Amino acid sequence: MSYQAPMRKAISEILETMFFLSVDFEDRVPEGRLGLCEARIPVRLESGELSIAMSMVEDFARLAAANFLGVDDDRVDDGEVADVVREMANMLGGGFIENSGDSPARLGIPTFSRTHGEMEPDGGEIPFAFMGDFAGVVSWKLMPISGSQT
Amino acid sequence: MPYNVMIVDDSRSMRQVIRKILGASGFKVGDCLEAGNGREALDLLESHWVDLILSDIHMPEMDGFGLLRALKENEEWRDTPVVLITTESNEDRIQEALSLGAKGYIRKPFRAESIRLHLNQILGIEEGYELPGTDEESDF
Repeated sequence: MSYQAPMRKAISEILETMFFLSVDFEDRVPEGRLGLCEARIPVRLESGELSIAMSMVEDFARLAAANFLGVDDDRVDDGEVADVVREMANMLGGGFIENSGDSPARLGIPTFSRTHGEMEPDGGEIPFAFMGDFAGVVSWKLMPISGSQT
Repeated sequence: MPYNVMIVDDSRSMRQVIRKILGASGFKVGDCLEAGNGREALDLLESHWVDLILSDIHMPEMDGFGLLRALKENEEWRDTPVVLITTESNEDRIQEALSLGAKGYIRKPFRAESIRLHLNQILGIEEGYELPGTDEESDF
C-alpha cells in the first residue's frame, strides 16, 4: 500500500485548518539540514506498526505554534513548541488513518525530541517547503509489531 | 446562563485553543476547568460541578474511554454531557464512545465553527441563533 497520497492529504488538511499554513511538497530533503523539532507517533495497523515522524525546522515549528495559539511567534516558548508539534503529529496520525481507510488502525501517544532529522532507511518521506524554503519532512517506516501498546 | 465547562486533553496548547474558541464563540462560560487526562478530570469533578465536558480520547494514564466509563458508573456525573474532540477516526471506537455516553464528537483538525455548532446542539441553544461576536469566516 502506498502511504504517500493519504499522508500528503493529511499534512495539507492539518496545516491549513489548524495552523493556517500552506506548504508545497518537495521531491527531496536538502543536504545538511540541522536542528529539527520532531514528534513521532506510532500507528498500529494490521500489517505492523507504522512509526510516523513529523520533523520541522525550528522557525517553522515556532510559527505553527504561534498560529495555533493565536499569539506572536516571539511569545511562544520551547515547551509550547514541543506541545504543539506533538499535537500536530497526533492529528497527522489520525488524518492519515482516516484518509487511508485503514479503519482498524490505532493511534499511540506522540513523543517529542529535537533531532537532526535522520531519515529511516527503507521508509517513506514527504519533504515540504514554506514560502520557498525547506520547512520540514514527514517520514515513516513500517515495522513488525513488538510489545504492548496503549 | 453561564455554563461551567471542563476541557480534558493532554495537550496544554489544545486546551488553550479550545478555551479561546469557547470565549470567541459567545458562549457564556462560567468556570472553565482544565485537566490533562481522565484521572485529573475525575479528581476535579469531586469538588466542582460542570455542565459540559469536552474531552480528547488519546491521553496517558486515563483515556477518554476510561473517563466515559467512570462517569457512567457515577450517579452524580452520568448525565453530564461529554463531547469528544479527537483524532480518532476508527468508526468502531467512535461508536464505542457513543455507546458509553458521549453526546457527540468533533474530529481534529477542526474549525472553530464546528465546535460552536456541536455545542449549540448539545446545550439546546436554538438553531440559527446568532451568537454575539461570532464571525463564521474566522477560525479563532
